[in-house]
Amino acid sequence: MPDFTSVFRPLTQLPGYRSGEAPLPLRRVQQTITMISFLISAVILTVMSVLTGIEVFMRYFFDRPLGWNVNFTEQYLMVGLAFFGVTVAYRLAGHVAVASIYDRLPDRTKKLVQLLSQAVIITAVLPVLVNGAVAAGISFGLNETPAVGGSELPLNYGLWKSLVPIGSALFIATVLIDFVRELCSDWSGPITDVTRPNRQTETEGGAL
Amino acid sequence: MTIALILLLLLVLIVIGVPVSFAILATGVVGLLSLGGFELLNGVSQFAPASAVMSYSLSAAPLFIFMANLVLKSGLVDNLFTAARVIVGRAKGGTGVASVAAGAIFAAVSGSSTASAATLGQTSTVKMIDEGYAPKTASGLVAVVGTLAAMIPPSIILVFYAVTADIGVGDVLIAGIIPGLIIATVLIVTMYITGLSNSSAMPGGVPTTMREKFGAAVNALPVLALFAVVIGLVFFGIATPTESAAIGCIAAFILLCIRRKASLENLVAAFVETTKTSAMILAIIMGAEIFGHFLVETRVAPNLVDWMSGLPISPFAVMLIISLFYLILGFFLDQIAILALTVPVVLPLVEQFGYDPVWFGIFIVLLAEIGLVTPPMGLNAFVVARSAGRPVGEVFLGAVPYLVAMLIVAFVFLVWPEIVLWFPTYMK
Amino acid sequence: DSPDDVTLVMADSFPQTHPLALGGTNEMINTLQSDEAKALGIDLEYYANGQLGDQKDMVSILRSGVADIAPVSPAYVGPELQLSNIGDLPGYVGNAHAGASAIMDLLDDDGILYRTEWKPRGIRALWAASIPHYEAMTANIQVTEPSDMAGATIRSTGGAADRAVDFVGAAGVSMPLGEMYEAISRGTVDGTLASPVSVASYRLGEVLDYSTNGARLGAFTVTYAVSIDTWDQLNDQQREFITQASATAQKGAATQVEKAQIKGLNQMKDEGVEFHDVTDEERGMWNKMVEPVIDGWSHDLEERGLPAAEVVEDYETAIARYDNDEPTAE
Ligand code: NA
Ligand code: NA
Repeated sequence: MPDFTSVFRPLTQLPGYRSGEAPLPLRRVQQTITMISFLISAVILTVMSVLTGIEVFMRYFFDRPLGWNVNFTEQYLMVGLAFFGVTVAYRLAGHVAVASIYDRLPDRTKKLVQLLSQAVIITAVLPVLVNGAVAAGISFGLNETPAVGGSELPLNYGLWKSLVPIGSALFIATVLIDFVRELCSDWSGPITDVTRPNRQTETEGGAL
Repeated sequence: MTIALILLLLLVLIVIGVPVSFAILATGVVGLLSLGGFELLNGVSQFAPASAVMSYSLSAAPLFIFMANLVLKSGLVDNLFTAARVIVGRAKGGTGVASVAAGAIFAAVSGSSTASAATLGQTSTVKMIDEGYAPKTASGLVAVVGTLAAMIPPSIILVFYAVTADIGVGDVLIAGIIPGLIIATVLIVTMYITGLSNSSAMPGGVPTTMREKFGAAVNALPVLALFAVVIGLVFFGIATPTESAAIGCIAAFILLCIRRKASLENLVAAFVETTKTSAMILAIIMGAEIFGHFLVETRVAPNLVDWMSGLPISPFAVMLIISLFYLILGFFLDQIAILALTVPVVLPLVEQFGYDPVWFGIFIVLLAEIGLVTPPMGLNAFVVARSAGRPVGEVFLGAVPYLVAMLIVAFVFLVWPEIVLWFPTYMK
Repeated sequence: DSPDDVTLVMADSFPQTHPLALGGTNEMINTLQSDEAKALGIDLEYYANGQLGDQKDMVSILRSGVADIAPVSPAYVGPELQLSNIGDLPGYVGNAHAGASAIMDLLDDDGILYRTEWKPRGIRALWAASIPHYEAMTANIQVTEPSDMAGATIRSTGGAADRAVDFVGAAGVSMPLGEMYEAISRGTVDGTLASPVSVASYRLGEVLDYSTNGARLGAFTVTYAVSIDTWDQLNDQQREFITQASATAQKGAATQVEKAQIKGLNQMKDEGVEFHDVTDEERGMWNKMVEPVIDGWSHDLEERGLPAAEVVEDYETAIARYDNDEPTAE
């Protein structure tokens, strides 16, 4: 039985995240969202490698390419990785940002800038969430499903389109919790420090 | 006017530390609102975010990242520098040459220059300083060597460029090989030139026997074999870059198993790093797609093309201006973001001047990568500084001669684009 | 500014050198940007080359108001306009004029496709173009009858064309035409179902060896569509003006497509492609293949509760109204 606490350490010990200060239920919500998003992303990466590998194998040795894997990768795997991965990257401070000026600000100003930054993220992603839901709803409502026997799996388009609002909602919830925590805490300085990749998160995968 | 204000907003958001992807997204949202109100914003948001990442070719990016992370966990690249050092032997400046060689081999499995800098910073910078190299030479060189990973395939940024420019991913990846090797050579030459004035700062390496050299070469073999498979499949037209990246992941996983490193802990760490990096890139791409819709509707691209091609200066002069533009952008912006925001606008102009889009990809990636080793956003410099325990200023300073050399390389590519383009013509 | 002044945003995804642009789209753009249009309060902003979005996004782009006019190809938006794929099925379209006119009959206000698929998505067709003459084009294996394709790997355009490939026992792969040159010369793909118009522009004749001529294996339909919201905002004169321009565009596009067809055929011959002309006796054999493909298509969509049988009936009636003969080459 592997030691899960240590296995998932990269996810649970987040850079700049002082979990002791967050009320427990909120912290748990954030951790759960991160863990779910991560597990989905890991499954996506596995399926992406294996499915593409099978496609080459089938084409090269049996002259029978899968065909449907291309659209499946585009619709489910790429969209899924983008919209679930975004939360993982946020929680690991993996989204590149400029920290050099922020770091030189006085603590009080830092706090305001931090709140502004979180508000900007939430506001910017909100249209993606709402309209992504509209688009998925239209596909479900009009039963938009590829034809049987074509090069796509006959699954309703609403299914993959749903990944957009679901992923966005989880992401917004995560940032919103940080925002609320920041808002309700002491105003002498920021308590969350999530966007400092220059100093904190340059591990192997780093930026480019 | 609108566009100037919107760009100013983008700049402000980035400067105060909003993650680049969300700064671009937010600016795009404001831009669309200003042009067409909620109707336009809601319309674009219905399809554009998903559409931006729905590309089979682009899926090569997360796959290459995954492959590199699996290779890292296999421990096979841990000893690359040591192996290179043994092979180079006692030649003057041997350890410096070994750093570049290790960087080039690392680049052959990793698509990320920062990852390369992090790995080499811990080993080669520290060793070089121990042996008596000037600390600024040691750290500056390694920070620059990291950028080889973006040029020698696989390269995440070249995959992204090809997808954005709508050209063959394989062509661009293969085109990166020769420039990558040229840059590696130029870096070594530069090291010797800078060492001329102070030869005590460039000691000889350790003497080694042929048997030791052979043993070390065998160590580097699995990594080179993986490169040969992944790039060979693309070069000989057996598989697309996406497919060969997937095969690379499977092969890397097998290597991990053979070396008994396929623990749950290693796998989770590889998944975490891959998810983090991939999602960061995809977020920038999505933000840039929304922002791109705003740019399209402002008609800035065709107007710029008309204006620039109407200027009473030669296309070569315009290309110099464009180069300067990319160089400066590289100082401040993430490389993926630079490409996502500018390629749709600039490429039509460059093509109109008769330059090949494959060449342009190599050229601007070279220029943008320079920004990784310059203040204030030089991520590679920060990474090397931290992992080698040196002050950042020293790394920036030490990198200067190598950056000058890379600028000369870029200029040579601009004058003779054939240097970049001859090799891909041998592709099947 | 009069209250009826309107600026139409037009998205496009076809190059302005494509036959359907040469004969149709460019003409339409010129008309809608002319002084005559301005006098009626119409202006047009044109965004070329997929700048506003991909082919697959065109229905969303129109429905959501990002563009007012955009090209909608049922083959690219399969799940959204499933029934509208009828025009791409094999066996039907003999020439570009008939193909365009027939599909438009099903897209007018009381047309079945408009009522069941287009109106619910807030779009209506202004004009259509059909690129017919899909032939079996191959390297190495010569196709003189459908069964020759059994076991081969054939590129298919997606949508309804997949069915024909599937029916003859070939393995279908979907890939853009732009990648075909490489794929054929490497032997990844044995051939494609395509029209000489598109094949010629990618110089695929250089790597292809054989092609059928007159097998009528399908078509590619494009419509330039307008969002219903926009259409309803226009006054009667404006609508009349756009309708006229659309009719001219449709005729011009079909003429250019047929010209390009003959040119493409000749270019392929020059590039060394050997053509097998489908004879009258052989026609029955190809028709035998086509019938089950259409039946299968109709059956599957009926099972989803879509009125496919009615669409087939209406479409067959429509295409019979026009001169559907194949143009005689040379
Ligand atoms: Na690389
Ligand atoms: Na030929």
